[in-house]
Amino acid sequence: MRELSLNQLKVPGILLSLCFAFSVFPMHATIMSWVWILFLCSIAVVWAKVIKKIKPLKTVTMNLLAIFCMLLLLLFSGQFGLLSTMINLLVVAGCLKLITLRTSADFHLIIIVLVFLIACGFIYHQQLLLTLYYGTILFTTLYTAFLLNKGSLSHTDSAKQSAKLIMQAMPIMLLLFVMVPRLPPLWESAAQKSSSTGLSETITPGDIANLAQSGELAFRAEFISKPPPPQERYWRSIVLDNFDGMTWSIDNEAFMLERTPEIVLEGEATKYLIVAEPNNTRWQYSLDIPVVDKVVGNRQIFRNQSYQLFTQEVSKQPSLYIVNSYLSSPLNHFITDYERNKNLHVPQEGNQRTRDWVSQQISADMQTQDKLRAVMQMFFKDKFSYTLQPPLMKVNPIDEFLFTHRRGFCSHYASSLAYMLRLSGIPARLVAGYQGGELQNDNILTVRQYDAHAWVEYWLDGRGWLRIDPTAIVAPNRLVDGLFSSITQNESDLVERPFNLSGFNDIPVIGQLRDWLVMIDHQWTQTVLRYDQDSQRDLIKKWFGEFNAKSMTTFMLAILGTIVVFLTLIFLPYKTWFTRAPYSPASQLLTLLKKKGWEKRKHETLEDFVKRLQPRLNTKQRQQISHYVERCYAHQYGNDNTARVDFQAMLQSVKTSFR
Amino acid sequence: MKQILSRIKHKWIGYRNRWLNKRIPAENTFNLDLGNTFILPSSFGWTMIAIVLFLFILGTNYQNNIVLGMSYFFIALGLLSLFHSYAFFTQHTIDFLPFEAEFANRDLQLKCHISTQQKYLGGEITLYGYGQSKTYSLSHKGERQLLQLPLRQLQRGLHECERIKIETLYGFGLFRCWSYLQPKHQILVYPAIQKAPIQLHRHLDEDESDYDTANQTVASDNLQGIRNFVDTDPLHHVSWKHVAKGQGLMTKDFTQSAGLSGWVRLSDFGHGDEEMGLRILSYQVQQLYKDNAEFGVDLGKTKILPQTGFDHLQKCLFRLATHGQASEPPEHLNHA
Repeated sequence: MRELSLNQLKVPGILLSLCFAFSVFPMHATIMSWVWILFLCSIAVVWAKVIKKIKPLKTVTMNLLAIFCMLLLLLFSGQFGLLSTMINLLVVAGCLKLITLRTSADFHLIIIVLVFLIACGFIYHQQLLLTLYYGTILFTTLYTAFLLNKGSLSHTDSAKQSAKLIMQAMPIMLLLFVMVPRLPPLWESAAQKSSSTGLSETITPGDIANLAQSGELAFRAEFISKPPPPQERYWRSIVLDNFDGMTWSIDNEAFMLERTPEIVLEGEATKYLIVAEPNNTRWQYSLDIPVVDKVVGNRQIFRNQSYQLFTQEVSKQPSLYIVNSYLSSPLNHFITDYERNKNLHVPQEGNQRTRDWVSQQISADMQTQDKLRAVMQMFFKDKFSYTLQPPLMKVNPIDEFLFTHRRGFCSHYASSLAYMLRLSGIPARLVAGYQGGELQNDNILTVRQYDAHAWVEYWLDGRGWLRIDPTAIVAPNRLVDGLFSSITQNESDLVERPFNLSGFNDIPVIGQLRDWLVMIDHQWTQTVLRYDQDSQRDLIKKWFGEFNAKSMTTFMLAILGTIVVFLTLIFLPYKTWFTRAPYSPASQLLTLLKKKGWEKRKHETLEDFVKRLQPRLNTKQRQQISHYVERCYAHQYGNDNTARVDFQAMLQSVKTSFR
Repeated sequence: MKQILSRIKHKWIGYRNRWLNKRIPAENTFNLDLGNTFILPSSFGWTMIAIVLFLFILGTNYQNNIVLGMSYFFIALGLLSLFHSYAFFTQHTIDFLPFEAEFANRDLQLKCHISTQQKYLGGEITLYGYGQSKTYSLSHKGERQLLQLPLRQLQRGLHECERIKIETLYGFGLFRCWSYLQPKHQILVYPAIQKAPIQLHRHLDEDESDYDTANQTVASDNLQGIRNFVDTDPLHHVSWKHVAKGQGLMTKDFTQSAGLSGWVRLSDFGHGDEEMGLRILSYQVQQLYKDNAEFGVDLGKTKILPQTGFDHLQKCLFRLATHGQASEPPEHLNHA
């Protein structure tokens, strides 16, 4: 492979190491600390290399280093998921190659590593800003690839050229993006031992080792009356009744409406409008106890016995509805024996230590409130901490959480409290939804995915369902000040913060800018991130009226055709077509003679050439040709105006003389 | 194993060249176009194709539109690169320059001019041939440029030039465009130089005993040769030996005024090693030319009549180079 000189190494080396650093940066939570050290060393080596030629490391040293790194990776791979091990492996490979950076093949390898890293980055983050960020890195990387064979072109010109190529690639990419049919996952992806907060109809706290927090918008609430204080903002969405020792899940009858009679509510109503992003479930969001006032669009929103709101179908469109919530009204309208039993049910086995502990604390004759107090002792007495990176708890998760690790996030606390309450004979259930939200101004509240929360409801005879939030005991700030106050600096890196301008609310321009950014972000999510088979189908329907095999084929062919037309527009040599060479009788003669096998030498004049040919011609040919040449010269240099037709005729006679 | 591989390679090259001879006949000027251009992804390009597949699978499995978009972006980039690389390569015209004859132990240069239509500027071009390769940065001003490739270890003789591979990697280095071009110009390699004392025969049919004496004198210090007596010559320069033999009045010619004449003979040197003999003659004819001698060369079957001058030297060297080869001297030597 071609070795690059110091001069050729300089700019690409610096650019590539910067790209590498920037692409690793957003994933820093995933990178192991020893990889950081290697990373810094390799960047230092590259910079030393481009500044001054230094001796390359010995191959043996390099190989030993590589083996050592691989062993370390293997050693730590158990603790990290497959995906993060892969990312670490990529970074290590990139670092090792950076150290030996010498040939263009080395550069290509690092570029490939970078492409992989960027792809991994996109798996974690898909917001518009980060996409732009990674896009910039990708383009810079490609520019580096361009620099490797740029020749004597200046860097600016190379940048122009490579930008041109990238710009030309964009429309083709868009067309392919729209056209290529979306496939379902080909196989089960390597389990990403990380989960994103948000709503789901099952919760298995022990399975999540790394709760990546997405800053995506869940919904917006516009309060018509005064918004409630932060600690009152419990947005109910999903109620989970069933527990099997590991996983909480929704009841089969959750969507039943038959046993939901009208209810009488008391107290003052809080009125607000919800604009909810689609969430892939039928559940909607509301404060307790909701009464739907108005739904925008032709959909219906129902309320069930657990005071949850839901729609008829899973929707891909945002929902818009106005709700009156009676915050002070007790939730005591529905409880049957069936419900009571369901919310007392615990699996027969498992989590033995918790069972033992509860049976020690609780006696059958205690009042519900005393029992509750006894159980809650657990969280007051021992040292629990709130973290987004809890250890995995695969077997007897509640035992492990309560007695071994004592570290977890809301689902862990809620799950174990609900379990203990059930064990002590109090009907209890898990409620999943969102807590808090960020007031953008006086009455608009945005709730993002990282505001997702889980809490517990228990039944107190006479009072109804009461909310109890064990997380509040461990991390009280979580309720009042939001997520960021209750986690460590290291963990807050796991949380994608949305681009936030809420501090500048007073300035109208910034307010407008914010609305505008929110709109762009919304469009990005809707049109790009959510583009799937259905969107494609809708598009085809819109263009062709119906969706069938024929319209699908036409659609794809049309797009392929567009790509071909685009490429044609770029590459066809119009210039040579439209700037046709001016008429020259001399060149016509030359073409004719060339056909006979005589070619004019490069520096020969037409006259000399014809003279050279003379011995090989007969008298007639000689005459015809020299006459033609004479007229040619006259035409070109003199003021002879022989018409084109005459030249054609003369040429014809030259031709006939050869027969 | 190595042998088998090299034999397979040899066979493949032979097959390839036969195919190429039909398709791209030898020529001195090539306009690179559809007919003589090959294009395939480079190793980086193949890896990128693999990456596109990988990204597609990754994006599909994680249902991640951005990763899918990335894979489409690379498809688009590859497609554009394909055309751009081709357009870049085919904008060039290659003019092979005639080879300058050289001696076998020295490097011969393959020279060619490359000119562009200025559609794309910059870029690099690599010449491969005779086990050598050389990369040139192409001028960003689009003017004509001289490329050279040293040809090492050529045997003496008049050779057809091998096929020269010229290659470019344009754009992001995803595609390799190349062509195998064969110049029509022939390569003339003179035998290497081997120093040995000059043995000049006065006559073609002279026998062994004869040259000895004649040559001893010739080989001595600054004596250059013997020539016919001219009136102005001083008497002490007359070669009385020749007079005694009845060859008329001859003047011993010293350095200032050369005029030596005679024959060099291949059979005198090398002691059966003909190549060695040719190398020695290669030295001697040059020396004799420098001394402005009138010399002829006797190569056994081929004999070149004594003459002087540069053209004669070239002719002699040509015969030495092609000794044993059936070949006609090139045009410019014929005119001489």
